[in-house]
Amino acid sequence: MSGFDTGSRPARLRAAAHRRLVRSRGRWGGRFRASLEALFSPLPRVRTSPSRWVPGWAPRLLLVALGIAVMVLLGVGPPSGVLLGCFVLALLLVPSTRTGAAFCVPVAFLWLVLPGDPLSWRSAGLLLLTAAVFELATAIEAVSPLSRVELWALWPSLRRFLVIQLISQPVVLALVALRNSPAHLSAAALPVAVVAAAAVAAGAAWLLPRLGRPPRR
Amino acid sequence: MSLPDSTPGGRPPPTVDRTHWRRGAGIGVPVLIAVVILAVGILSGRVEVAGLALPVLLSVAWSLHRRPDAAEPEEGTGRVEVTAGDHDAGAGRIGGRVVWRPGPRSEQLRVTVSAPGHTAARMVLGRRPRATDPAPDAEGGVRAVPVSMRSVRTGRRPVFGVEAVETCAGQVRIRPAQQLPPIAVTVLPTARGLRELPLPPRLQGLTGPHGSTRAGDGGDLRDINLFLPGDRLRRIDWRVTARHAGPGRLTDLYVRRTFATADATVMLVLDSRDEVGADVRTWGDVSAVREDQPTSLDHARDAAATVARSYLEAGDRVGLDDLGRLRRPVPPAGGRRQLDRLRQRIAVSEPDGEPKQRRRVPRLPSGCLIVLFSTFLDDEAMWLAQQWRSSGHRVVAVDVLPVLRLTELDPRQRVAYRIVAMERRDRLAALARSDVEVVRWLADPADPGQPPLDVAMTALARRRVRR
Repeated sequence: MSGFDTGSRPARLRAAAHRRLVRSRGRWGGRFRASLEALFSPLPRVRTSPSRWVPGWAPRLLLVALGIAVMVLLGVGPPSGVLLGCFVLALLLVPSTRTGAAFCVPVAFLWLVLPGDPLSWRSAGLLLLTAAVFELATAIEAVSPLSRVELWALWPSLRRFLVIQLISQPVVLALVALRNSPAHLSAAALPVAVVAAAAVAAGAAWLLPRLGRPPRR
Repeated sequence: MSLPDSTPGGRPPPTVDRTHWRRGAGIGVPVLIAVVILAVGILSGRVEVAGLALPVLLSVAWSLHRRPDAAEPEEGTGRVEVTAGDHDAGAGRIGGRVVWRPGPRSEQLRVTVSAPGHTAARMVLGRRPRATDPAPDAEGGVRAVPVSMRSVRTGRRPVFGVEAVETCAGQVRIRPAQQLPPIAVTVLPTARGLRELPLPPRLQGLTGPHGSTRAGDGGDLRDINLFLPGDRLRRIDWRVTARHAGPGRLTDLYVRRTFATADATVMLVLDSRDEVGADVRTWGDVSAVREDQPTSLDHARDAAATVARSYLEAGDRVGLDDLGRLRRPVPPAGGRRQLDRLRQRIAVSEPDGEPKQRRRVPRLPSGCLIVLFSTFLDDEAMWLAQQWRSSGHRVVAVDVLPVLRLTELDPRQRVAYRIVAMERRDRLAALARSDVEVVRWLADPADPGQPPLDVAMTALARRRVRR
């Protein structure tokens, strides 16, 4: 028989559990202290000085504002508003080409089901705002909200947006006007419209590469 | 002031082909969504709804047409470089620049600038259509963006690591991320002036700023003595000679003898074997010390540079030895270049692995004053100071331990610190008993009776020391 009193098995287990608890409490306490320290005395930030910048959250807020403007133009009610709000939230959290394109889906769906005049400022506004959401979401893809974004970094997207709007707004307006015109007029104007659309497409195909081309050396 | 090192800190980055663009954001999903919207709009007879797809399709077409050919390399562009070297000691900031040479098709550069002990900063740079930067080129201008970090640390410091991704054609094409490891700069310690300084018991040399006890060329009168061979004729005191002369005849000549001048030899001994911060919790592990909190070695560097500058400006000769390195000390010398040399050597002193045990006391010039900068957290610095004092040197021990933060310690760490602090207090008391003069570099709020450093050094300067 051993001369040392090591205690019964339950007692040893209780002691081991107690030690484990004490260790765990210490570990959690250490993490808590570290979190408090990081909260109250954060590390200094590297200072950068780009020229004419906006904070990275500003374009995201602009995305939200554009999304809300789309909702206002559509005149959506609470259920549809929640649906669009989810897409706006996704744009806010993960702005990207995909979420920007995905935002067009509920807009198109609600535009289909909700009544409205196709030949109105509302149509032009929806076309403008939806394209703006897509371009802006593409421009700030993978950009942290804490980063500093130079305004020059948004210039290519803005230029692309303006040129595409200059092309798409008249085309859509002409097509809508053509569809709403009387039958005999539309029959006569159909070849003209086809030729005009082909001319616009050819003009866009000629214009787009030249606008997008880098300056020559 | 800081000096950029020629070699970057850390490992060189792996070689990545950055001359070619790679596929970036996918365009399949937008095209699919646009085609579906177009089809639904046409089938339902709502042309305006179908028109929603038009901007998306045009944008994708623009990006596809604008995208560079993946097989077409672009040499010499798309490079990101980082430079450092501007140090504002007053503001405690180290500055640098991130330089981007955009390629002909580049649109954006996403940069993450990191620095040790700092939260990384991110920025998105754009390619300007016209060159507006100081160093433009024909491709839209080289972009140079100032960056800075806050640091009160000195010595060899790694700063500004950069990770950059270049995009073009609406994110359809990107270049592989370029990662630059932190570059190293040497931040020189700040040297301020002290008014009065202690001197060694024995001055050396035939000239200098201090009055010696032996006779020689100097300004202070020592005595009047008979003219002896070797005395200069211009030192003859004709009044005393005339007073001692008899009536009508000149018997003896008397000369005025002065105290000679001499310079002091001072050896700075820097204990760079350990480097501890104000946070005691970081002493026992590899936790990094914050950049806005100076360590004991930063204080030691500042103290050594200050003492060196003060002695050199007074015309004395100063040398340097590093207890952390087993190599030849900087021999004592005077002048401005010696101060630059000392500051450079002081700045690059840092712990280098496990320090080797010294088997014998470093030999320093005889009769010099030894100023030892240490934390006295172990016995070796104390033992060396006692050995130097016993061999006749005057030794001033400068305690460079930072003002400690003890409030966040847990009970176990607190007990450990109390043991270390008691041992350290015993060492400082033993040094005082051995006639080693101990001063503290920083004012300790826990000890309000402690005199400021200037006052302590002045008191030491006016104290007579026996050999």
